[in-house]
Amino acid sequence: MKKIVLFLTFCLIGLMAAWMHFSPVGENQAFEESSFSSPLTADSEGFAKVLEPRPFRFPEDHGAHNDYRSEWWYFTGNLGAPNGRRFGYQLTFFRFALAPDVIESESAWRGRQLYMAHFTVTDVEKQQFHSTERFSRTALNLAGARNNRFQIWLHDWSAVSMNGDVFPMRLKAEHQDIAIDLLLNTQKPMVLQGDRGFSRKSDTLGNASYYYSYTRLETEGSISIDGQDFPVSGNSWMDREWSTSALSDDQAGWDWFSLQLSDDTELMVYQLRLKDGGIDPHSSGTLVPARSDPVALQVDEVNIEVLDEWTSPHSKRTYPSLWRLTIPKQQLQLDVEPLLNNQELNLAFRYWEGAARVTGTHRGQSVTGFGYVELTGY
Amino acid sequence: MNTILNRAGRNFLLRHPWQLALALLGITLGVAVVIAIDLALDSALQSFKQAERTVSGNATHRIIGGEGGLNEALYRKLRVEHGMRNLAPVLQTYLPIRQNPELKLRAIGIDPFTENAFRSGWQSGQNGAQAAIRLVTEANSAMLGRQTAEALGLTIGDELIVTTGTGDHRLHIVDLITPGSAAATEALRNIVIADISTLQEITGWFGKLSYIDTIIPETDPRTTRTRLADLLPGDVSLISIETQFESMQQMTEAFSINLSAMGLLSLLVGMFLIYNTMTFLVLQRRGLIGNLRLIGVTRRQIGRMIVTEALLLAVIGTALGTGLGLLLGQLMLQPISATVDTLYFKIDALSLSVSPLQIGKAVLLGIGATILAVIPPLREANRFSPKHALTRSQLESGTRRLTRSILLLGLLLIAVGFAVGFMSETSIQLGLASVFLLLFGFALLTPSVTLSVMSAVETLSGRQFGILGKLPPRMIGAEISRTGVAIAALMIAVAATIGMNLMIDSFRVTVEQWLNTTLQADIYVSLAGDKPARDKAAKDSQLKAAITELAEVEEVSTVLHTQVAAGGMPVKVSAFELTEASKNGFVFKQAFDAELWRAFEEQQTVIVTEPYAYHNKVKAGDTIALQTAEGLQDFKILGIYYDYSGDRGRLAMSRTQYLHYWPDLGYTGIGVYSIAGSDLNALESRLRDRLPQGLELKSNRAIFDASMQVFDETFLITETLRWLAAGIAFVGVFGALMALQFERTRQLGILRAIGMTPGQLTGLICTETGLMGLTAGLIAIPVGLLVAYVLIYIVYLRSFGWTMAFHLNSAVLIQGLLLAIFAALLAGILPAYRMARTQPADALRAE
Repeated sequence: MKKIVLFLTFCLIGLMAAWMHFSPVGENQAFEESSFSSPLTADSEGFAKVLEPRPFRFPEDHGAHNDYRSEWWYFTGNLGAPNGRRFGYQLTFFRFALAPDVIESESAWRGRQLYMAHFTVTDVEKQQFHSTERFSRTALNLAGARNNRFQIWLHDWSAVSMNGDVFPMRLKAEHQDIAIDLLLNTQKPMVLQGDRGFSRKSDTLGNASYYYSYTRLETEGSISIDGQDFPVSGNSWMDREWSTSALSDDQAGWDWFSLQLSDDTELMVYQLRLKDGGIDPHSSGTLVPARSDPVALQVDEVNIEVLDEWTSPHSKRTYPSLWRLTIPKQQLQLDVEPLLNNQELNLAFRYWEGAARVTGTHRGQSVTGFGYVELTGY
Repeated sequence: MNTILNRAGRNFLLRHPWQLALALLGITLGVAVVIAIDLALDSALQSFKQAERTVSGNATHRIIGGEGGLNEALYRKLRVEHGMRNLAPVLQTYLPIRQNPELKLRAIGIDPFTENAFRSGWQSGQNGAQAAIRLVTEANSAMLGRQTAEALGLTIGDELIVTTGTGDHRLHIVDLITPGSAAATEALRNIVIADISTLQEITGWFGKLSYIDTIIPETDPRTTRTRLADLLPGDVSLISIETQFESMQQMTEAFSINLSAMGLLSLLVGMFLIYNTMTFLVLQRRGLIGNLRLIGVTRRQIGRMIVTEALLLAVIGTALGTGLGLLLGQLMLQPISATVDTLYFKIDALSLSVSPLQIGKAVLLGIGATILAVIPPLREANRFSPKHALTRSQLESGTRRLTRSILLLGLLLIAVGFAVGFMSETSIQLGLASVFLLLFGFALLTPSVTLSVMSAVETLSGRQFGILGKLPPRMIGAEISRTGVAIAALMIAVAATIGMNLMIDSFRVTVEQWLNTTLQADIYVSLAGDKPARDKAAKDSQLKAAITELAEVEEVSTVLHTQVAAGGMPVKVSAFELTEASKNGFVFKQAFDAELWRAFEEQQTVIVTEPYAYHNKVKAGDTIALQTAEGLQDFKILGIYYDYSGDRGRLAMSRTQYLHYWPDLGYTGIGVYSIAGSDLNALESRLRDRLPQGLELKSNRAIFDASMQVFDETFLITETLRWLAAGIAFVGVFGALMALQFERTRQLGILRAIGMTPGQLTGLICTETGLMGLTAGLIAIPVGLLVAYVLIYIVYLRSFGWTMAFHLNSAVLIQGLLLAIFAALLAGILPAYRMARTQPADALRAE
């Protein structure tokens, strides 16, 4: 169920982002998160709801589910150039249904779907983090997702299957002097998160999402920064999720980890932080072993200890910046450290999402790896 | 010593409140008119710019197409295929609203999800995301500026009923916009903002955008600019918004210069007034000055006293003038912008904007003119020795000598005026300078001419009426230093009036003749539908077919007025389907044969209007490169034809040629030619029955009348200003005559004492002033003709590119003469009345 909370919150982000987008405050000021729960818990009347497991059908389910309120296509990855220079990237497409009903119109501009995309590149050597966002309606095919093949785009940013299937998939994004052009191939089958892809987030009926992931995508291509091209290769991670239901009032934010270890294991863990300082019991995770079936992790099986903190010079917010994850049942202990502290996205919705390095032991063997961490609600 | 001097000066001024008031009035009116015109014109332009800036925000460039609009697919192409950023698509139209039928709101269709880098008025003034989302997701939703909403008595949740080509629509107001600055709030007046989808739905302009705003950063203008320009189809242009403003400024430049000239004319007359007053103040005090000099006051000190007085007058007059100018500017704002609106471009929200520069200009002008006008009297005061200063006769004989040098100077100015006029090439400013030089030169001739006229009159009337007949011309001649100025001021005002009147009259006659020729059809149908509407072309052509089928209709001609692009700027184009009869409606500047019309139909050619040829410096045989979807296309100019419908000019081509490269936007007008002998009224009512609602039907007579009305409205401002100048001149004459009569109190007292009755005295004064008026009027007639000539053949041709036929209307000349005499008589009445009532003994004591 990786980032259900994030995803649900993005319902609100869409609204809020739009609001920030127009409001007279500066471009880079995020809204106060204390106010985000109200639009999220707003009326979801009229939208389709996620109530029970359903069989997935592809390629249709790779496309948009316009009757659900929100949806995303999420790519993150850690890449290296031949000379050893390390990069991280994130390219995410979000879809929000602004209204439940379709208005019939001869105007191509009429529509109810809003797309938003985030694009970041982490340049470890230069200690630089580039982030940018875009918005567009689906009018005139300015943005959208196809249902007959894997293709999702917002203006000229896109994730497109190179043949009729899903992989190989090409990711392209460019903003000013930062660009990526990557080819992705999966090395493991799709992982259906939660119960056969049905990911519950609370006891309330409908508070759930449909959720699947590709946890290890072999990646090759190029990253260009300020006119300089770097051939790169490494691993990416893809998440797909759609839903209608909202966050609960008592949740403050979440910490989420997607880690790819050197022994071909992947780990996804998230913790929903409650406003009272506790951990929500719906927090969970999945361990994807090298050669066996994924294992669902319960909230009490994972222990996350924060070892250091970092304060953003932009927002003055303090984020955790070093973690020790222990899952005794899996004989797994990992130290997770950001490749760069400053990977805060100062966009319409402000959060921290960044590339990280992993070191530790798994079943008695020492392991290393890379991953992505997402922190919201700080 | 200085204190005593100052007090002497002040006391003197206060003892002559009339003189003081008149001098102040002169400066005040002159400054006021100049500042008012400057303000009103500049505000009209500024209002336009402010509105555009508020709507476009930080946009630096604009992608524009023809009047049919841009294909919205271009926007997708730029965004998705080429990854161009910072683009704001806009669909724009004007919507009449039910709540206030007088008002047309500018409706702007936007995409709320455009980058906020534009920081446009609608982006920064919004109150929340919810409204933006409602714009996109709810049909017929819109936002209004808070001010507009309040003016219409509407608020959030209310409905605005608008009319478009597809009927009435109810727009739901979902938000009120409150931009940060007062200027932006002002600029958002009369603007309604909706999503592009809503605007397309209510107008039927599906698939169309009006323009796309874009931001090209100054740091990297060339690459982005070139890249973007290369991506655009041939008939679409990328223009800089600043360039657009500049071209608008240029458009109105001629209009503005001409209006400003009127203001300067007022100031010129005002200067005479100041000169007159200051001379009067100096002469009146010649005794005082003589006495002061005798007790040892130096020339420098006297000079300083007079300059201080003049400066004081100038400062007060300029301050009052500035205040009055602001007021006048506010009053003139509406009519001036209405003219700009008719002739040049649409202004939505109008507000007076005052810049320190404008005020500074007016202050400089007021004070400068006063100082300039005070130089001659200053020299006068210091010219004489203390003893001579005490005698008037010395002064007048000196003045008589001076008249000769003034005559020479006048002749010189006239010669220079002519030279400037003929050598001014295309400069409007030089053309106007020539008018001013001529006027001023002739004004300087006035004293000499007056003296000759007076001696002639004296001989004539002396024979007829004896001493009483000789007295008035002699009095004028004897005091030429005062009477000359008054006559000159009056002459200038009357000559300017005659010149302007003749020019307007000639223009009017020219336009009348042109309209009579050009309106060949019996009835005109005006199809004012929205050009970007998808079904306009089809509907229009059905309508044309229906009209052609009517039994009384012999044939029809059509025209489509639209715009295409040349050199990145829009050019007006008329696409004609001509009948043999309608070809007679074109009058060419050069000889032409039937070959012209064949080439017009069959080849890639155009004919251009006279103003177009003038402004673009083209002649028959040249080619014009027009932007088309298939790249640049050369069109050969077959001929230049007269057209007075606009001063920027237009191209005309056959509809066949037009449709080769540009989209069918239907028709703007259809000319209906009836079968000879058919009943036009019956045809008109049959047409009316056939036509869909909202189409206008006009007989050629009605069009003629409507056109002439527009003509007259356009000249309303000029007319008003002319009267203002005449008014100032009147004040000048009034002041000069008042001064004259006050000075003569003693002299007239003697006349009374030696037996002249009050009636005779009144008659004497009135004859004198009447004679002055007559002289002014007589001189004004040839000068006025000359001014008209320069205005018609030099200034207006250069300003607007129109050739006019000189039309000599003798009524105008007689009117001018009567105006001069009447004004002078009127100015003489009060002094005559006062003198007649004064007891001879009091009068004798007066000095």
